[in-house]
Amino acid sequence: MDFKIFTIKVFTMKKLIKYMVVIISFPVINSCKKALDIEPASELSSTFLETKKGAVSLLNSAYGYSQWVADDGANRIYAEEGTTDVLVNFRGFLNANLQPLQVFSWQADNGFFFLNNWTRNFLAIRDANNLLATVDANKELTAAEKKQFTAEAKFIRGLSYYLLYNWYGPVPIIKKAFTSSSENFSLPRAEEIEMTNFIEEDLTGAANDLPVAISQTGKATKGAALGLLTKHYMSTKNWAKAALTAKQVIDLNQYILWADYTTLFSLQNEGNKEMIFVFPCIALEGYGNVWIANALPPQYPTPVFNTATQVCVPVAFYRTFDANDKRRTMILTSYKNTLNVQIDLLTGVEYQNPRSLKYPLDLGASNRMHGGDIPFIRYADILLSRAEALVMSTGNVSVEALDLLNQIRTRAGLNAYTLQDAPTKDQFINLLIKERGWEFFSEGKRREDFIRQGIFIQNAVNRGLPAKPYHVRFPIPQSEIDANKSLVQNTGY
Amino acid sequence: MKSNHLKKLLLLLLCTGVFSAAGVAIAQQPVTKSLSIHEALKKITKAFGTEFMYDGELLREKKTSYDLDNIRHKSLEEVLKGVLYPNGFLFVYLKENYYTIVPKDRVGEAYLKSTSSANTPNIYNTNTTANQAQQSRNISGTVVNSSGSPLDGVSITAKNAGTGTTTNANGNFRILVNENDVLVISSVGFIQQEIKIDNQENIKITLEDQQKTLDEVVVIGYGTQRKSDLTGSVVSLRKEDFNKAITTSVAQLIQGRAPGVQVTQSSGAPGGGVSIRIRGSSSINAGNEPLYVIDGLLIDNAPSITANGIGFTGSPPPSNPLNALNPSDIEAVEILKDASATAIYGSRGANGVILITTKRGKEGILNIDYNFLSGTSTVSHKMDLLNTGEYINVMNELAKARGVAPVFSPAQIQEIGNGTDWQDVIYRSAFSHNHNLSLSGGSNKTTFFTSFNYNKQKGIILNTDFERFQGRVNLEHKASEKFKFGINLNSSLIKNNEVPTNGTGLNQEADVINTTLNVPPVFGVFDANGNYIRPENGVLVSVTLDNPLALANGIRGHIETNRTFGNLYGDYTILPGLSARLSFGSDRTNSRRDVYQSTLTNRGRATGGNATIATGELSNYLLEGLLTYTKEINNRHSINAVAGYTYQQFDLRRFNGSILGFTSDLTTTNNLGLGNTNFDDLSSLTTRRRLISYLGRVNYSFNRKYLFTASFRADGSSNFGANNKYGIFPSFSTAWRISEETFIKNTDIFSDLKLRLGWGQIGNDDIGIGNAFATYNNARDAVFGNVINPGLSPTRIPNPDLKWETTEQFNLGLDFGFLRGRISGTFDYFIKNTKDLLIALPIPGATGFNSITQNVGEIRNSGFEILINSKNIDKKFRWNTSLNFSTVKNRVVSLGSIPSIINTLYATSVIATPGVPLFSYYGYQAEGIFQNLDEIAKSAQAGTAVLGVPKWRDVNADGVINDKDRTVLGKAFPDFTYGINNAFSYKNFDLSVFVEGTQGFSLYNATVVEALYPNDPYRNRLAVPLLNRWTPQNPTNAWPSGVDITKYRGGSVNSFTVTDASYVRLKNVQLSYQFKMGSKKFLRSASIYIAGQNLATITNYLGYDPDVNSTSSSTIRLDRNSYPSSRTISLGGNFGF
Repeated sequence: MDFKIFTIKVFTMKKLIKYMVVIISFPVINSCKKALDIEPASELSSTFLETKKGAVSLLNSAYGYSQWVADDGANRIYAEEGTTDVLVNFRGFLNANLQPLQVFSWQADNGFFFLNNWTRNFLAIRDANNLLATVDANKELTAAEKKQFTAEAKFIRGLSYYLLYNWYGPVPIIKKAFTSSSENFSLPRAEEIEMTNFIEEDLTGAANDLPVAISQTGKATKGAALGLLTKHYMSTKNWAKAALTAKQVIDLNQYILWADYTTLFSLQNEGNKEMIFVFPCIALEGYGNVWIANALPPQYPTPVFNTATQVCVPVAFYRTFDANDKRRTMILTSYKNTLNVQIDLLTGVEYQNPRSLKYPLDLGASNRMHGGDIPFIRYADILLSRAEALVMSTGNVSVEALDLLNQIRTRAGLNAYTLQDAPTKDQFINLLIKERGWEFFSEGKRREDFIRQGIFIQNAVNRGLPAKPYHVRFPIPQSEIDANKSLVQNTGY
Repeated sequence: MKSNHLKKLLLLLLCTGVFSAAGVAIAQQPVTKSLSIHEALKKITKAFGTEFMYDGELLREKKTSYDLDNIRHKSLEEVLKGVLYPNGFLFVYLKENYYTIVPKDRVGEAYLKSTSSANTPNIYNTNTTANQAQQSRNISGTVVNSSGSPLDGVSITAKNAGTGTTTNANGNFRILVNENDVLVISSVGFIQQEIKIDNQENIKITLEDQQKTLDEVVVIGYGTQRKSDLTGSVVSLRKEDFNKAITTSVAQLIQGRAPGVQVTQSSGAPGGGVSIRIRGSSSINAGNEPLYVIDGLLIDNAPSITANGIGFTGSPPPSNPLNALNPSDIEAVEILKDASATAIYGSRGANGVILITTKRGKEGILNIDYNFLSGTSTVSHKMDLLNTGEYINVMNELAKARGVAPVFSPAQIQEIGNGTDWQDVIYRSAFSHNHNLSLSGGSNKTTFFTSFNYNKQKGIILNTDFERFQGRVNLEHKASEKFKFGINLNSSLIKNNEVPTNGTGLNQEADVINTTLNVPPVFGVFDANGNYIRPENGVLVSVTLDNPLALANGIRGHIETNRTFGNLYGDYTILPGLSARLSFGSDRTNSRRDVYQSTLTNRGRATGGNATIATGELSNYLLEGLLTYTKEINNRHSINAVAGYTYQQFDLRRFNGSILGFTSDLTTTNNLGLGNTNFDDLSSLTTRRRLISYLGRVNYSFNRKYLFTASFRADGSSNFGANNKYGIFPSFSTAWRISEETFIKNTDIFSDLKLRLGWGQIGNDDIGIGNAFATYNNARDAVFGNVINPGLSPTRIPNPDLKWETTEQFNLGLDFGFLRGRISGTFDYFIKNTKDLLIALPIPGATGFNSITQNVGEIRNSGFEILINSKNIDKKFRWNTSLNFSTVKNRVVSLGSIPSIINTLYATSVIATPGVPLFSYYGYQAEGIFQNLDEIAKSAQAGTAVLGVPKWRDVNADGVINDKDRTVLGKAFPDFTYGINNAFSYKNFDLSVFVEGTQGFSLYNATVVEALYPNDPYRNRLAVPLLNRWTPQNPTNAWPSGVDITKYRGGSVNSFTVTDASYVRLKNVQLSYQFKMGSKKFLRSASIYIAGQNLATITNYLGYDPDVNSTSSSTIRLDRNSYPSSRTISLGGNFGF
């Protein structure tokens, strides 16, 4: 703009009009079309996906959503255990949401658990699908990288569908990236067999192409894919395949049982050889392990953050441990509070229930966020899975199965079982499930163990709860049912 | 007769308005001898029997050489022409044989005022001057207006004596009158008065405003208009209509004053945010705030920073960006409400437009004005919490009801003593002061107004305050008859100190208000060693909350904002009536927010102190070219047309950096590098938005009786999708001034009566940036080992069809005035239909997206508005009342393919569904409290409920209480709002009392939620729900038992927590005293006043203040931990030099 306009004495009407015309028409002619086409400057255009960095970032995002850490990670475990005999919660914001799960009155509107879980899994699936849809056309990736990225994306998709299936049963199978507003988004639920096959395909495909050696904690490996596949076969009661796949994991010779259970989860032993696949935690908002913050009892003498909610191990479950069981030492039963008063956590009155301190108290914590990783597949799980699968598939208790179970027991400082202790399939399974309770408390495996063995409902009924057979599946979140006309809710909800 | 011909000629000339330009030719006569004009006129009087009135001073030196010897043979016209024209004077026929003589260049004035011309103190009459000694005497007087200020240029004529004069600048006049004469006093804009003179020598006359509004010029979009010519719905507020003793924001000036304009406080903090709704809410996701135009500059009022900083949770409403404008610089505020008024603003007009005009200098001497205001604020209403004794009783009784031992033993109760009232610890009485200095004036070429403001307000919460330095320059220079240019410039620096309020954090992350309300009163503030007592370490009870004082001292936010806006314009008159205007405006805001959470707080201790710095830059520039054409034809047709082009660009740049883990609290945010770099967090954002527009409007009026307006605007916006780049927004309106029709005029009932009708389409372009593009952004990172790896994922499913929301508005208005304007008012009825709503249409989460942004659905707002001004008593004691009343009925008409949108983002749950007001509260309706086991057994809560638990309505009667039993609990839109101002004046005293109210709306009260659903059992809470709770001895249905909250079920959004929030408030009272200045020259004027804000509120609402919204959402309203409003008593003074 020319400010000559203000030296007005020499100005004539003609000149003014000329200036007006120039000024007004300049932007019109010059920029009318392009001026209104402004892409968001802080976001990346889709061409970025054609680069290697684009593919890596997309894969990272997929991993990110599939790493169940921070509140979502703790909540997943609370839902898996709060519905069983190994966890009870009192007070706080968490309790308002967890209470319906503890007393078997949950409904489809519980967004805190059901919607969060649904959404997060499908976000991971979305990013995995976006990568799978673009990886082949990527200009910067080598063939080997394409193969690796594809395998990782399939692993993440398989993991997410595995988690979804275990909560909701079959869900819509999405294999594509959505990019246009005119697409049909209302996809129906898959058939049972479609769903389980799809998970099997993804994990098998991933296992074929993933590396055996672990490069970084949290990265998918062949062992992780086979381990997850084992667990998938377990939950679909495909016992023979489960036993076989577990053997494949063992035969990779990558994993061992960590000798000392009490240091298995410690910060300095992160990434130890027992951990086949973990959700890595760091002391950073949104990426930490919040277990301790929610588990510490009131006035517990610690500099770290302690929240209102009280996540406890029920006294009744604590009392099932053998006195010599090393694993029991990771449970807090009494403490001297900040006022020097000794508090007994074995009375079972409200917050006076024991606390699981399995995840280490991290003095470098940032608020509620501690650094201890959350294990998802441990070698111990694979050993016990093979034991269970062998017995379930054959109907007989083999020496191998007994030996696998005893490896876990002896590490915990307990006596090995003999065949006399577990002569029949049912007796063996009974002991094995008990063992799994002691081995995996606070790791979120109790619900699937019970469901797999068909004792989930009975266990709840035994605890005086109004559990019904339909409770083995959680309801699809109500908002998802509302948004998708072709979804059918699980029976009972 | 010849004089008759003359009369006709003169009338014709006057009517056609060409009197001075073409109708008079100056005749030259042969020179014979010289005579003074005064003498000549005497001769003419003798000869023709006519009388003349003229200014003796002007004619004193004038001589004529016209031959007056045989004038009886000539016509009067011929003689007068011969005498007067060569001297540059004209003559105007007034009545039979009565003429006035005026200088040629003042003829129009002389005609209009009948008897005088300006600044001519003495006018003689040829007939009476001769014998004045016998019949006449001189009297003097003063004319003042209703507020006592002298009026100059008022015309005074004596009926019998036939003399006339005007007042001088001090309002004084002298006039020659006859015995028993009658003075006629008149001036434009005032009611003419006739006063009988008896023996008075000195007369004081007070002139009453004539229906001041009628000829008042109001500002409209891209122009001005006489109020009487308006066809749209425009509220025009002037100084006298503003709320008194306001120093912070323009929104506070107009709160409650304009019908159809709802101003809601988002925060009671000094300088806290407000939201303004004009005629309801018409958008779900696009903005609902009106467009602000300051002296023609369209500004973007978005906050420059939205980041909170670590320690501040939730979405605290940002402070009001318009704090940059000093309320005392404001001359007028016009609020354009209907589409016919706002369509010229096109895609930004849907929420109404607020036009702010700042003060200008006037030609004349330098005026220096200084005013000050200082006041003290206190919390307007303390929350009624359980006090120490009540708390102990309730805790012990609840423990007993749970079957456990009492919490407090008698000995312990003794030891606790009075305990602590935490509200007294946190709230204080806060001092504020405000100073304005302005200089204004100008010559006939240049006028200026400059001002400076300093404002400092402490907040009623510890460590909060607001400080502003602001200056303004308005300058206009007339370079020539054809060209003028000017500049308006406003610059300000605002410093705010904050502590966390309005938060969403729980436990030790809760904000100061939440913590203050929930920490049990049994704790002290400090222990014996002077350390903060931590409630989580309590002996008898422990709650996971921090010490409120530690929070207020330990988490501080400091915000500095520089905002400068202004425009530069040039006006060029191309042809008479046609002018061009070019202007360039800009608005730039730079803000920086520093937050430090020290180790005084629990959370700060857990992380070793943490610091955040956020910066934001908002910049907007506007280039505007306008052509305006005005034409009157035959005094019957009046046309005003405007056409223009505008180009505007908005840029936003933000940066946010935070870090944890300091070794010392001392450096706070001064060196982020001292934190632990493993815990740093950086982010930034840049956005740009551009608008290209073409606009036009034509106003046509016939006889000033029938008025028509048509306008349009074409807006192109970068926010719109590729398939919808330009939107066109037309409007049409018409008005009929019935009072100008003779059949009404003759009745003499109405001084004004006008019917208005308008229709238009307007838009809302505030639909977000980038929704039409497919892009990738960071949402979630992956952790491998102990290293974070940044991730990118698709941001949205793009929609290239995205466009503005369209609002179609119909308005029917009636302006009236009767009893000679003693009662006047406006009535408006409107229907506002908004379609193509911007809705994030939920799509299955299985796609990995929640929604796609689309234009679907429709919302309807309708209502009426009344504004009435009445002069109840108009004597020495004066009493005026102004009343406004408005209703808005809001209803969602359709949401396209989806039945409803339930939003639970802001702790509450609200629903948008056809037939129901937008985002009504949606939750569980209690039918009472379970009183006996039989009742439970028969209910839908059989098996889960116990006695004393709320009985929820089983809406779908399926025998289960779940989310399908939620129902509409209340709406956030009031049934009606009103404001009543009473102004009294007597002698030098003025008193104004303003009451405002809002009736029939609900609010979700998070403090009640905390009382019913405490996070842990020992938190303190509201007294009413606990003291009146259900117990076996008190089988009430009012409040549940409080014993086992997990058995309540339903949800926390229910009929206990969503309650009526209607209120009436004594908003503002001001008593002022105006000093009599007499002739003292140094001080022009002086007044002092005492004012009170927010003096009393009548409401049933259980919170600090029902006039609140803690969300940053434009449509969802709730009250949660909001900064309380304050009551302020202040003293002020105005001095003019």
